[in-house]
Amino acid sequence: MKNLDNIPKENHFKTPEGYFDKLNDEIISKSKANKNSKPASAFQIFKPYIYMAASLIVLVTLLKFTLNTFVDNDPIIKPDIEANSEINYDNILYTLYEDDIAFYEFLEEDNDIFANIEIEDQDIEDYLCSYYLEYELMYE
Amino acid sequence: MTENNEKDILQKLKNKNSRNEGFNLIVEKYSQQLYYHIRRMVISHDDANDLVQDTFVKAFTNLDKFRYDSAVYTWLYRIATNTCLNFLDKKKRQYTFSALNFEDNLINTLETDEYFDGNEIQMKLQKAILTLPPKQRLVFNMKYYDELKYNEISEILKISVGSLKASYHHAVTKIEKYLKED
Repeated sequence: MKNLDNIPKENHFKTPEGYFDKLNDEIISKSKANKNSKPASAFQIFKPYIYMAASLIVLVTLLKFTLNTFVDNDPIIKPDIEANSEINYDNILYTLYEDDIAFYEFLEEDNDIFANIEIEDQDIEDYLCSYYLEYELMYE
Repeated sequence: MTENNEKDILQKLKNKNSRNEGFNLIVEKYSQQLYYHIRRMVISHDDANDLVQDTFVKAFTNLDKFRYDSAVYTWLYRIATNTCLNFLDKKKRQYTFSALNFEDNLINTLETDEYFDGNEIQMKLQKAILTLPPKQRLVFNMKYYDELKYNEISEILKISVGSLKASYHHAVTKIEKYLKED
């Protein structure tokens, strides 16, 4: 029974007894009742959307009112615009390099501290090695 | 069933005074045929009952839109088919996040249906038909059970005769393959 032609073409879907006798009457009465009912108006169709839009407007208005009433509009910390406008970047740079400048000035002064000190090449190398990494020396 | 041919029905439907009488005649003539057309698609008797009633309610509501150049049964079949496909689509969407798929549910309905009295082979044939996609199932049922001609199916489903022939051939191949499985 592997082929469709070998299977008898029968209807095995059944209905409750007397179903078709009642069906026609049901269809006719339902169809006529439906035809007599008023078609939905445009308002009825769009009612959910209208209510949704109205709710949204009320919500936004309430939120705006609440924020205006209860939240202080003046920020607690006002940015000091005038002070900021006086920022001089030369001053900042000067501050950053101040220590280096002081150091060079110190070296340039006729200072007795270095007068009697003999600095060997090895000392310089040791110093550099202790302050700079090897790669910095190589690429300088 | 009274001897009412298509022409008499059309005449009655055209005339506003006899329209209700004409509608009663089409209900009497086609309700059973359309019920089984729908039943084979949705399997459950309760669903088929609701959908056949919906089909006629829609037909009655839209009688003014009926173009008298096509046959009444073609028009009714089209309404029934669309109603059926929309219903199946809606049902399928309900199963999107379910572990059980909709086709399995149709098979379960068939197995537990008290109004299906087919033997084992008939049950297997129905299960094989349920493995087809809905539109292919429609084509198969209309050709195999309703014994409609390809040009009639073409007019109802708005699909070319060539595509219908190919679809029916594929459906038969799939069904026979299913029947050969254990």
